[in-house]
Amino acid sequence: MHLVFETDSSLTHLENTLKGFVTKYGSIEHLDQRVQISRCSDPTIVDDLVLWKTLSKPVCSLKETVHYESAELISVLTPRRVELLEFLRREQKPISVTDLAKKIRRNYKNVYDDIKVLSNNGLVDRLKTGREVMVSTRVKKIHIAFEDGDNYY
Amino acid sequence: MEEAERQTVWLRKTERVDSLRIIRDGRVRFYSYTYRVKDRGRWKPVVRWDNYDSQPHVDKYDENGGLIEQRPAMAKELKEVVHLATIFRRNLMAMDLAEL
Repeated sequence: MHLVFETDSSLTHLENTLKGFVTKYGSIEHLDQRVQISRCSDPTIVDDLVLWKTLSKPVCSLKETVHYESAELISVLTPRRVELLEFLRREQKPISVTDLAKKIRRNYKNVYDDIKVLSNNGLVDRLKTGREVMVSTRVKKIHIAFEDGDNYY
Repeated sequence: MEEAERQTVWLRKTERVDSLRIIRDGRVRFYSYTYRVKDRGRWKPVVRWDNYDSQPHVDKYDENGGLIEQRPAMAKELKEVVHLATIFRRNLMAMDLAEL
Protein backbone atom coordinates (compact mmCIF):
# COMPACT_ATOMS: atom_id res chain seq x y z
CA MET A 1 0.00 0.00 0.00
CA HIS A 2 1.30 3.40 -0.92
CA LEU A 3 -0.31 6.71 -0.09
CA VAL A 4 1.09 9.92 -1.60
CA PHE A 5 0.31 13.49 -0.57
CA GLU A 6 1.32 15.91 -3.27
CA THR A 7 1.87 19.42 -2.03
CA ASP A 8 1.48 22.86 -3.54
CA SER A 9 4.34 23.89 -5.82
CA SER A 10 3.14 27.44 -6.49
CA LEU A 11 5.24 30.57 -6.23
CA THR A 12 3.42 31.46 -3.00
CA HIS A 13 4.50 28.19 -1.45
CA LEU A 14 8.08 28.83 -2.54
CA GLU A 15 7.98 32.32 -1.01
CA ASN A 16 6.48 30.95 2.21
CA THR A 17 9.28 28.38 2.42
CA LEU A 18 11.86 31.18 2.12
CA LYS A 19 10.02 33.27 4.75
CA GLY A 20 10.07 30.23 7.03
CA PHE A 21 13.87 30.04 6.70
CA VAL A 22 14.24 33.73 7.57
CA THR A 23 12.05 33.27 10.66
CA LYS A 24 13.98 30.18 11.71
CA TYR A 25 17.58 31.23 10.98
CA GLY A 26 17.67 35.00 10.39
CA SER A 27 19.89 35.09 7.33
CA ILE A 28 21.51 32.67 4.91
CA GLU A 29 24.96 33.80 6.12
CA HIS A 30 24.01 33.01 9.70
CA LEU A 31 22.84 29.54 8.68
CA ASP A 32 26.03 29.02 6.66
CA GLN A 33 28.07 29.74 9.81
CA ARG A 34 25.92 27.36 11.83
CA VAL A 35 26.49 24.61 9.28
CA GLN A 36 30.28 25.09 9.56
CA ILE A 37 30.11 24.82 13.35
CA SER A 38 27.48 22.21 14.05
CA ARG A 39 26.61 20.26 10.94
CA CYS A 40 27.74 17.04 12.62
CA SER A 41 25.10 17.32 15.31
CA ASP A 42 22.22 18.55 13.15
CA PRO A 43 21.88 17.28 9.57
CA THR A 44 18.65 19.27 9.12
CA ILE A 45 20.57 22.54 8.87
CA VAL A 46 22.64 21.22 5.95
CA ASP A 47 19.47 20.41 4.00
CA ASP A 48 17.94 23.77 4.90
CA LEU A 49 21.07 25.60 3.71
CA VAL A 50 21.20 23.70 0.40
CA LEU A 51 17.48 24.27 -0.16
CA TRP A 52 17.67 27.96 0.78
CA LYS A 53 20.56 28.54 -1.64
CA THR A 54 18.67 26.76 -4.42
CA LEU A 55 15.42 28.63 -3.84
CA SER A 56 17.26 31.97 -3.80
CA LYS A 57 18.19 31.50 -7.46
CA PRO A 58 16.08 33.40 -10.01
CA VAL A 59 14.83 30.30 -11.85
CA CYS A 60 13.94 27.40 -9.61
CA SER A 61 11.09 25.18 -8.53
CA LEU A 62 10.14 23.25 -5.40
CA LYS A 63 8.22 20.00 -5.41
CA GLU A 64 7.25 18.32 -2.16
CA THR A 65 5.59 14.99 -1.47
CA VAL A 66 4.75 13.00 1.62
CA HIS A 67 4.56 9.20 1.27
CA TYR A 68 2.98 6.70 3.64
CA GLU A 69 4.42 3.22 3.21
CA SER A 70 2.35 1.44 5.81
CA ALA A 71 -1.38 0.75 6.06
CA GLU A 72 -1.33 1.61 9.80
CA LEU A 73 -0.68 5.22 8.82
CA ILE A 74 -4.00 5.43 7.00
CA SER A 75 -5.66 5.66 10.41
CA VAL A 76 -4.35 9.24 10.52
CA LEU A 77 -6.95 10.09 7.88
CA THR A 78 -10.35 10.04 9.58
CA PRO A 79 -13.24 11.66 7.66
CA ARG A 80 -13.10 14.70 9.99
CA ARG A 81 -9.37 15.18 9.40
CA VAL A 82 -9.79 14.92 5.64
CA GLU A 83 -12.48 17.62 5.94
CA LEU A 84 -9.99 19.75 7.88
CA LEU A 85 -7.35 19.32 5.17
CA GLU A 86 -9.89 20.22 2.51
CA PHE A 87 -10.98 23.34 4.42
CA LEU A 88 -7.39 24.47 5.02
CA ARG A 89 -6.60 23.89 1.35
CA ARG A 90 -9.52 26.10 0.30
CA GLU A 91 -8.56 28.75 2.85
CA GLN A 92 -5.10 29.09 1.22
CA LYS A 93 -3.67 31.13 4.11
CA PRO A 94 -2.82 30.35 7.73
CA ILE A 95 -5.75 30.45 10.14
CA SER A 96 -5.88 30.19 13.93
CA VAL A 97 -7.27 27.00 15.45
CA THR A 98 -9.91 29.09 17.24
CA ASP A 99 -11.18 30.59 13.97
CA LEU A 100 -10.94 27.25 12.24
CA ALA A 101 -13.11 25.58 14.90
CA LYS A 102 -15.68 28.40 14.63
CA LYS A 103 -15.81 28.28 10.83
CA ILE A 104 -16.34 24.54 10.62
CA ARG A 105 -18.59 24.54 13.72
CA ARG A 106 -16.64 21.96 15.67
CA ASN A 107 -15.46 21.77 19.24
CA TYR A 108 -12.12 23.61 19.72
CA LYS A 109 -10.50 20.75 21.64
CA ASN A 110 -11.38 18.17 18.97
CA VAL A 111 -10.10 20.43 16.18
CA TYR A 112 -6.91 21.10 18.15
CA ASP A 113 -6.35 17.36 18.67
CA ASP A 114 -6.94 16.60 14.98
CA ILE A 115 -4.58 19.37 13.92
CA LYS A 116 -1.93 18.02 16.26
CA VAL A 117 -2.17 14.54 14.70
CA LEU A 118 -2.08 15.92 11.14
CA SER A 119 0.87 18.13 12.05
CA ASN A 120 2.77 15.25 13.68
CA ASN A 121 2.34 13.32 10.44
CA GLY A 122 3.64 16.07 8.20
CA LEU A 123 0.31 17.12 6.67
CA VAL A 124 -0.31 20.43 8.45
CA ASP A 125 2.11 23.24 9.28
CA ARG A 126 1.75 24.96 12.65
CA LEU A 127 3.23 28.34 13.43
CA LYS A 128 2.98 29.87 16.89
CA THR A 129 2.40 33.62 16.75
CA GLY A 130 1.92 35.14 20.19
CA ARG A 131 -0.76 33.18 21.98
CA GLU A 132 -2.31 31.82 18.80
CA VAL A 133 -1.29 28.79 16.77
CA MET A 134 -1.75 29.44 13.06
CA VAL A 135 -2.25 26.42 10.85
CA SER A 136 -2.12 25.77 7.13
CA THR A 137 -1.63 22.87 4.75
CA ARG A 138 0.39 22.44 1.59
CA VAL A 139 -1.39 19.23 0.64
CA LYS A 140 -3.02 19.57 -2.75
CA LYS A 141 -3.70 15.99 -3.87
CA ILE A 142 -3.89 12.57 -2.25
CA HIS A 143 -3.11 9.44 -4.28
CA ILE A 144 -3.52 5.87 -3.09
CA ALA A 145 -2.12 2.78 -4.84
CA PHE A 146 -1.60 -0.88 -4.03
CA GLU A 147 1.31 -1.25 -6.42
CA ASP A 148 4.97 -1.35 -5.57
CA GLY A 149 5.91 2.10 -4.31
CA ASP A 150 9.27 2.22 -6.13
CA ASN A 151 7.87 4.26 -8.99
CA TYR A 152 6.59 7.02 -6.75
CA TYR A 153 9.89 8.52 -5.65
CA MET B 1 16.75 25.85 -14.01
CA GLU B 2 17.22 24.13 -10.67
CA GLU B 3 14.57 21.85 -9.22
CA ALA B 4 14.35 21.05 -5.53
CA GLU B 5 12.49 17.90 -4.51
CA ARG B 6 11.72 17.40 -0.85
CA GLN B 7 10.10 14.11 0.13
CA THR B 8 9.15 12.52 3.42
CA VAL B 9 8.57 8.79 3.40
CA TRP B 10 6.78 7.54 6.51
CA LEU B 11 7.69 3.90 7.12
CA ARG B 12 5.86 3.66 10.43
CA LYS B 13 4.46 6.15 12.91
CA THR B 14 7.87 6.48 14.54
CA GLU B 15 10.16 5.96 11.55
CA ARG B 16 10.63 8.01 8.42
CA VAL B 17 13.11 8.91 5.69
CA ASP B 18 13.58 12.60 4.83
CA SER B 19 14.89 13.23 1.36
CA LEU B 20 16.16 16.31 -0.45
CA ARG B 21 17.37 16.30 -4.05
CA ILE B 22 18.58 19.24 -6.11
CA ILE B 23 18.39 18.62 -9.83
CA ARG B 24 20.07 20.75 -12.48
CA ASP B 25 20.05 19.99 -16.21
CA GLY B 26 18.40 16.65 -15.47
CA ARG B 27 21.19 15.51 -13.13
CA VAL B 28 21.04 15.13 -9.36
CA ARG B 29 23.58 17.63 -8.01
CA PHE B 30 22.80 17.15 -4.35
CA TYR B 31 21.01 14.42 -2.44
CA SER B 32 20.43 13.62 1.20
CA TYR B 33 18.42 10.74 2.64
CA THR B 34 18.07 10.73 6.41
CA TYR B 35 16.52 7.80 8.23
CA ARG B 36 15.00 9.12 11.47
CA VAL B 37 13.37 7.52 14.47
CA LYS B 38 11.03 9.27 16.89
CA ASP B 39 12.31 8.97 20.42
CA ARG B 40 10.73 10.77 23.40
CA GLY B 41 8.96 13.20 21.08
CA ARG B 42 12.04 14.10 19.02
CA TRP B 43 12.93 12.96 15.51
CA LYS B 44 16.52 11.78 15.84
CA PRO B 45 18.71 10.95 12.85
CA VAL B 46 20.01 7.38 12.78
CA VAL B 47 21.69 7.03 9.40
CA ARG B 48 22.13 9.54 6.59
CA TRP B 49 23.44 9.26 3.04
CA ASP B 50 24.37 12.50 1.29
CA ASN B 51 26.88 14.05 -1.10
CA TYR B 52 27.45 17.39 0.65
CA ASP B 53 30.76 18.91 -0.55
CA SER B 54 30.41 16.58 -3.59
CA GLN B 55 31.56 13.59 -1.52
CA PRO B 56 29.07 10.70 -1.37
CA HIS B 57 29.20 9.42 2.19
CA VAL B 58 27.14 7.80 4.92
CA ASP B 59 26.82 9.09 8.48
CA LYS B 60 25.76 7.26 11.61
CA TYR B 61 24.37 9.03 14.68
CA ASP B 62 24.18 8.01 18.33
CA GLU B 63 21.00 7.94 20.43
CA ASN B 64 21.43 11.67 21.20
CA GLY B 65 21.60 12.57 17.51
CA GLY B 66 25.38 13.22 17.52
CA LEU B 67 27.53 12.10 14.60
CA ILE B 68 29.61 9.04 15.53
CA GLU B 69 30.84 7.76 12.17
CA GLN B 70 31.28 9.10 8.65
CA ARG B 71 32.50 6.95 5.77
CA PRO B 72 32.61 7.27 1.98
CA ALA B 73 29.77 5.37 0.34
CA MET B 74 28.30 4.69 -3.06
CA ALA B 75 25.76 7.27 -4.26
CA LYS B 76 22.24 6.17 -3.36
CA GLU B 77 18.71 6.66 -4.60
CA LEU B 78 15.72 7.21 -2.36
CA LYS B 79 14.09 3.89 -3.22
CA GLU B 80 17.29 2.04 -2.18
CA VAL B 81 17.37 3.88 1.15
CA VAL B 82 13.67 3.23 1.78
CA HIS B 83 14.25 -0.44 0.97
CA LEU B 84 17.20 -0.68 3.38
CA ALA B 85 15.41 1.21 6.15
CA THR B 86 12.28 -0.94 5.74
CA ILE B 87 14.23 -4.19 6.01
CA PHE B 88 16.95 -3.40 8.55
CA ARG B 89 15.39 -0.53 10.55
CA ARG B 90 17.52 0.39 13.58
CA ASN B 91 19.90 -2.51 12.80
CA LEU B 92 21.37 -0.24 10.12
CA MET B 93 23.44 1.19 12.95
CA ALA B 94 25.34 -2.08 13.34
CA MET B 95 25.96 -2.61 9.64
CA ASP B 96 28.87 -1.71 7.39
CA LEU B 97 26.91 0.73 5.24
CA ALA B 98 29.89 1.80 3.14
CA GLU B 99 29.83 -1.66 1.57
CA LEU B 100 26.14 -1.59 0.66
